[in-house]
Amino acid sequence: MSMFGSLGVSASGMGVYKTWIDAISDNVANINTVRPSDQPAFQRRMVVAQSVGGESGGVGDGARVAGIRLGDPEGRLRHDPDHPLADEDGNVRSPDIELSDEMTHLIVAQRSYQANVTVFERARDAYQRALEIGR
Amino acid sequence: MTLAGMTSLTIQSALRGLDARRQAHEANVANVETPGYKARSVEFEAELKAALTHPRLVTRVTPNVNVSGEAGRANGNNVNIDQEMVSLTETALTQELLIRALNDRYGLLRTAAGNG
Amino acid sequence: MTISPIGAAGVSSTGPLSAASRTAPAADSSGFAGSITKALDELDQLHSSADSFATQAATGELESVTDYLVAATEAQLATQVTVAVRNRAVEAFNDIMRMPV
Repeated sequence: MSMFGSLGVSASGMGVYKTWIDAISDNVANINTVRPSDQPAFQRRMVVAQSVGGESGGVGDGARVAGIRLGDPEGRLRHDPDHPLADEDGNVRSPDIELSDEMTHLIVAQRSYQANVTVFERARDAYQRALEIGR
Repeated sequence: MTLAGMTSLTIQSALRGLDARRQAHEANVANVETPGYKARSVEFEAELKAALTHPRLVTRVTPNVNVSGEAGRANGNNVNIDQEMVSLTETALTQELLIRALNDRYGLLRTAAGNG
Repeated sequence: MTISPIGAAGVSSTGPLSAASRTAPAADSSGFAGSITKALDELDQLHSSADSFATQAATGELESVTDYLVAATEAQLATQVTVAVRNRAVEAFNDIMRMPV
């Protein structure tokens, strides 16, 4: 790891959790995005995280977003005949997203983001103290 | 050890490069929402290492500004604020280390010249 | 009274010193001069080491910040000790020179 390597590692974690929070906010914003039954539903966004480095036995280099997976396009068929997009059976397609699940994930993502910020700040402080050696 | 020895010149050259780097990343942070803005970065370490054969080459090392070619977000901006924070902090810490190194060398000369 | 002339008896010749006694002073690494030289060499090594780590820090090759910091601190302390010894030696020399013969 380079001279102040911990900083980059924490920041990579922050990036992953920030993307996760972005995905959750997209899911929650679209929780009522209804489509006609002949189209796929709004698909839930899920972040795939991957570790970076560390294969050769050393400490790794953090995490990254490997990709965004999309959820079930089937969604749920809801009976809502008054909806403007309803088909002849009165059905519309809603996304397969549970608000309570997304809120739980949001808390985990936020705590993880803050944990990485704490690691970043502690590492920076440790490096600054080290620069006082011998003064 | 001389007053303007190779090590002092190398440190001073590196400090100039780090200053350029700090300015580039500060500009990136200022432009984090500017549409179409691409992140800047500065390189000088490889050139400095190659110049270590002669003091005059060391003083002539100039930092290069690179523009990132990575695809950006919807508005064309590709500044990653977390990475910018890392770069700014690392640059500041490295500058502190090198300034300490410069002061250490001057301190040694003063000790040798003093009465103990 | 007969005064006998002073003869060479009892007085050995003041010819050139014999080869055996004309030895050059040995490079005495165990003596005081030797230990001073050794200490200065070590001090030089510490300065070089600190300089080398500082250069690595400048070119971004330094892996661990403490490598440089420990080397710099050791160089500083060793320099202070060496300078103190030099100053005492100079004072001692001056004291001796002031002594009435």
